[in-house]
This record gives sequence, structure tokens and C-alpha cells, in this order.
Amino acid sequence: MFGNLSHLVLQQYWFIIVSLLGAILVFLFFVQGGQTFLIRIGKTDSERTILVNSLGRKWEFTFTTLVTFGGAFFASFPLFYATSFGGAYWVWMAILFAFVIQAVSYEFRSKAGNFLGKKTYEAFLLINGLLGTLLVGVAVATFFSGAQFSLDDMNRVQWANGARGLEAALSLFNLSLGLAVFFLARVLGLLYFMNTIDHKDILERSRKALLYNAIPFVFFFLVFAVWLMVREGFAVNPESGEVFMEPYKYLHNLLAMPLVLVFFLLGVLGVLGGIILSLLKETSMGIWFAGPGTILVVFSLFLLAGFNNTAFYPSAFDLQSSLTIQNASSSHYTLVAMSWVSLFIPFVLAYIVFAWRALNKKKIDAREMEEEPHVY
Amino acid sequence: MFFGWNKVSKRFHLTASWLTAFGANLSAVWILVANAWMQHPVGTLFNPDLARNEMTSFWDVALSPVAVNKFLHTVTSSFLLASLFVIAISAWFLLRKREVLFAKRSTVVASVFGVIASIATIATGDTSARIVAREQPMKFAAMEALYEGQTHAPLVAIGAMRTDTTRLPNPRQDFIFKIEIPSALSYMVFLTPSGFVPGITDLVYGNESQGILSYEEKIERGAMAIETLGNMKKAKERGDEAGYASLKAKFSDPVWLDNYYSYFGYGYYKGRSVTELIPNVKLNFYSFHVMVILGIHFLILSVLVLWLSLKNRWGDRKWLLWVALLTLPLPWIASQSGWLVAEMGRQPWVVYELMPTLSAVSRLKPGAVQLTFWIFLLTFTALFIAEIKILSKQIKKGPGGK
Repeated sequence: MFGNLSHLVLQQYWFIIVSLLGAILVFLFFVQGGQTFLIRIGKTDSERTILVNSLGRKWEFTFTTLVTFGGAFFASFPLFYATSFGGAYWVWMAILFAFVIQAVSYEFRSKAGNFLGKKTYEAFLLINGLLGTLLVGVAVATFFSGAQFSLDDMNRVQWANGARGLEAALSLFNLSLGLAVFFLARVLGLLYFMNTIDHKDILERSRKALLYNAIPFVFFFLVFAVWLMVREGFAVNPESGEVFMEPYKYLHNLLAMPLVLVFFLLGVLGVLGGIILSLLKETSMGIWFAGPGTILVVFSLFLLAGFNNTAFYPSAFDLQSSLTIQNASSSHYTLVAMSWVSLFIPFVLAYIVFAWRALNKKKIDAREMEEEPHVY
Repeated sequence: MFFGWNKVSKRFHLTASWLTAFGANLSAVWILVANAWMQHPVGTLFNPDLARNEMTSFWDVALSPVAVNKFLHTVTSSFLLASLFVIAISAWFLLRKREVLFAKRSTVVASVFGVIASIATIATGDTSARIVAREQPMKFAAMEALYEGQTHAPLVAIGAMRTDTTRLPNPRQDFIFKIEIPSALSYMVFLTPSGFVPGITDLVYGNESQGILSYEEKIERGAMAIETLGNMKKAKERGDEAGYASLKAKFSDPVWLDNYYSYFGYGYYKGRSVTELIPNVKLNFYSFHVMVILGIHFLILSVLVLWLSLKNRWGDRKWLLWVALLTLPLPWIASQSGWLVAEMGRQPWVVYELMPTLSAVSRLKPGAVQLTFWIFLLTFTALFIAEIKILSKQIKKGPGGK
């Protein structure tokens, strides 16, 4: 079945899968966003326990999606993975560190004899929510603004400076996406609380905080989106493989791929609709508009970066080292083998949906925290 | 597994628990297959245009004997670790005369599992040594600190090495003392005492009568393979189609691949000293022997515990309980020793004989790596302390949770 597909089709298939995983990941960042509210919204210890437990039932979804996103990228576009991880060392190390301290915090927070104390683990969750979202946003923004690497003929990466990827956080363009992702994660976190927790004070505080986080999100997202449409982009000559700068490249991509344009607009509507609905009405449904909206927007952003003869991991330092889905991908044989494995994805998704519904059948309240045998 | 007890049906919860255990073992498969490929690259072909190895057979990679054995050895040793953990904690309860019935029942289950797992670990370890002897003779020689190759090679059971053993040639003065089992090493590898086990000297300087190429020769051949690749690229750049095609063809010629490309990594050592290609002998020797001695200790302990448990006499002798309790950290030490041999013994290779560590390493400043190392050491030490304290608290509470 897959063996008969051309290499290009397989490369596109895998870029779509990777993009979809990245999009789902940003939606699931509601866990990270929620983690930044433990102190703002949880005023008492029991309220904080409710918040941590509502997120604690979901953090593994985000974590495993992050790993799967990285793993799928590694397997299908190994040259990207090698270049970025070997080159942008400090960014990836910082992201890794932010996630190392997250997992244990849920497991250790409420356990007796946890050595560092509850407050420390809550601080770890805050660091994860802040750094994890901001840096992933900044790293993804370099898909449009370019990174600082060059590759030699043995595929070895050289980075232009000692900051090793952290320099990306100094660019206003990259920061605008980083901050948009950060505030989006917070907005989604609030919408998730409103969806899943049955507690009057928490609900009230969440609704109030929603407005103050939606405004900066919309601001930074607009800055990024407008800037992206007017900036020049990294185009590839399909004949020669040469990379060159093209004015309004990403606007051109959007117009050249109407389906992506539709996804993008629908997604923006979904996110804004979810926010506005939750601000105006007492509803728990906001996340079911903003969540899928997020997935559509991020998905279309990834496709803008990689499709229509565009270099998805461009180098602003050495233009011709830029990576495209064609020059960075695995061999035909490997992509075929991986594609067979990808047939399992629907089963995994079905399991996730089932487990999600089972755990969310009833809203979390203070009483459950006292009765449930396992509390984070 | 702690999770969702009140949320899903018991059947679903049990299925999910089993899937978790199965998934954990499954994730070990792929990581060990990847490691095995680096130790023994098979099922791939070098693509000279893209300067990378590409998979040609998924099954050759996934089912390579190195991978299969590595997986079995790793998971069975982890099962053993779990068994010894349960035996040790139960011994603690018995020493305290608490939860006696619970502790004894746990001990029976764990010791049955422990006996099976330790036999499986030793058997797969034995196979692993034979595979290493065949595929990575330098690692094998370092594990045994065997400098001079010989037939009827003895196995060093216990020994202490001199401080400086890396100078070559350095025959027969490597040990301060040693206890040897005659011919055992030859027997272990070839199942016959007359088998020739090559030593470090043979591997570095070659041994014509045994058909072993010297490192100098391998370096020459590797350098030739690297040069061929360079010439192929140059031919392509200057538009010399015929030259490019003929040089490229070498990379799919099995004889040339075998005689030249298979030494590709040695080419990076052109102009360097051949002794740089020798792994750290002392580290390998001690790690290997610590692992083997502990493995034997685990087998004897598990059998003893099972035997006494079945006679309902486990717990009668206090000192035996203390032995079981003090064994608690040893499986981790054994595991780490095994990984030291696996990873330090294959040095200087990242991909065996194809890509040396010195060419694979990211071009980072040493300070960057040191800083990361200390950050992680600090973090993981703190988390390690937390984990130990949480575990001890739970264990002290006991199964009733009082």
C-alpha cells in the first residue's frame, strides 16, 4: 500500500502527521497554562489540590504528545532533529529541563517525606508552565524567521554563536509567537478549569482571569500573524533546490493553499468564539471551541512553514543549509516502514478519548479530593 | 495504575495495568534495538550522496542477534532487580517482626520470580559475552584485560590490576594478583579449550597467523574509503559524470564495502596513535567482574531464599535476612556496571567501526556540557533523595498504610 507511494507523497504525509501532533501539543499546553495559576486561582491549600488534580489527570497526555511529536520528527526528518538538537543546544536543554521537573512534581507534591516540600514542587510546575510554553513558541517561530546554523558535507552542524539557540528569544518576532503561545496556554487552562471543576470560587476567579489573559493573547497573536503575512520567507526553487528569500512568502503560501486558509480562519474563529462565549455566558463549553480552534490554527501554521516549496527549518546564517521536507527526510524505505506503524494511531486516539471521558464523567469537587484514594 | 480506580470498570483497570507493563517493556525494545545497531550496525547501506546509512531491512535491524539478546538480558535483569527489591523489603519487615505473613508470602512470589530471572539473566549474559567476543573483540579483551591472545585462555575470576596498564606492549605484568580458571575463557567463547582468544596486542598490531588485521592497516583502508567519498563529491561538483558514477558504484559493491567501507571510522585516526583506539581497560575489567560476581550472588541468594521459604524456614536466621536486606542496592550497581561495559567497552565508537566518538560529538564548548552535567547532577540528586524518602515513608507505613 505505502510502498507504491512516491517519496514526495510520503514526505508530505509525514509532515502532515508531525504538524498535527504539534497542533495537538499546543492545545494540550492547557496543562502548562493551568500550572501558572496555582497561586492566582487556588487561594487555599484545598483549592490548589483541586487545581493540581484536575491538571494531574491530563499532564501525561501533553507529555507523551510532546515525546511523540519529537519522536515522529526524529524518525521522519532526522536531519532536522540532528541539526536542531545538536545545534540549538541551550534552547532544547532549557525545554528538557522544564519538562524533567514537571513530571516528578505531580507525583511527589502531596507525598509524605518529599524532601523539597509542596511549595517547591508547585514552583517547578510554574517554571514548567512559563518556560515550556514560551520556549517551544520561540523555537517554532524560527521555522519562519530562520535559525543560525550551517551544515557541512557530512551533515555536521555548526552554530553561528555561543548562545546556541537562546538568541532566538531576543527576536521580537519569535517572542511574539512565544508570548502568544504562553497566553494561549493560560487561556486554555482557564477554559479547562471552567469545564472540569465544580467549585464556585475557582469558577469566578477563572472567568475574571480569562479576560486579562485573552487580551495579551490576542495582542501577541495579531502581532505575530500580521508580521508573518508581511515578512519575507524562505522559498525553495523546486527545480534546483536553491533557497532564496521571497517577499510575502507566507501570505503567498496561504493564498496558494485555500484549504489551509480555511483551516486557519476557522481556527481563529474557534479560539476567539470560545473565549467570547465564556466571557459572556456561564458555560463550561468554551474549551471545546478554543481547543479544536487552536489545533486548526497551529496545524495550518506548520503547513505554511513546510509546504508549497518552502524551507521549514531555514537558516538565516547560511541560506543554502536550510532544511526542506525533501532534503531533511528519511529514506523512502524508512518512511514506508513508519507509515505502516502509523496505522495504529486511530486505535491510540480511541483509547485516549475513552480514558478522557471516563475520567471526566463527573466534575472534580472538594469532596472527591478527600475520598479519592489517589491524589496528586 | 493508582489511577482511576473509581472511574472505570475493574476489568478495564486491570487491562490498562497490563498494557502499562507491556508498554514499558515494549519501549525497552526500540531503545535497545537502536543501541544494538550502534554496537553492531546491520540492515543498512551507506548512501554516499547524503553521507548517511539508510535502512535496507527493518527485520535485520529489529531482529539482529545483538538486539534480541540485549533486550532479553536487560529485561530479565530488571525482573531480577524487582524480585530482589521485594525480597529485601520483606526481609526488613521480618527483621522488625512486622507484617510477617505478608512479608513471607511476598518473599515466596519474589524468590520464584528471582530464581527464574537470575537464571535467564546469567544465560543471556553468557550469550552476550559470546556475541561480544565475535563482534567486538576489543571490548571482550578489555573486559578480561587480556593483552596477549592465546589458545586455552584462562578466565580471571578475581584480580587486581596495576595502575598503568594502557602502555603497549605490556605483557603479563598487568595484575598485582589474580585467580584464574584455566582454559575457561576459550571454552566460554568457542565451547572448546583450544579456541584462540585474541588479546589487545593482537588486535592493535595484528596477528597474521590468526588472520587479524592491524589497526594501522584498518586506518589505511578507512582513510581510503573516506577519500573515495571525497573524490566522488569532487567529481560530481566538476560535472565529471563518469568519474562520479564509477566512484559511487563502489558504495554498492559488496567486496569493496567489506574491504574498505567497513573500516570507514578508522580513517579518522589517520595520523593519530593507534593506542587511542583502545578502550579504558581497567574500567571495563572491574565493571565486568563486579557485574558477574553480583550476578552469581543474586542466583545463590534467590535459590536459597526460595528453598528456605518452601520449607517455611525463611526468617529463622537473622544474618540471612541482613544479607537479603543489604543486597537491596546491589542490582542497581550490577546494572550500571553492565552498561559501563556496553558503552565504555565499545569506545572510541559511536557507531561501531563506522563513526568514532571524536567525529560524532556536537561542536560544543566543553564548558557548556560541564554546566549541563552539573545542573542535571544537582537536580537528579535532589529528586533521588526525594524518591528514597517517599519510598521509605511508604515502606515504614507498611501494606496496611497505618
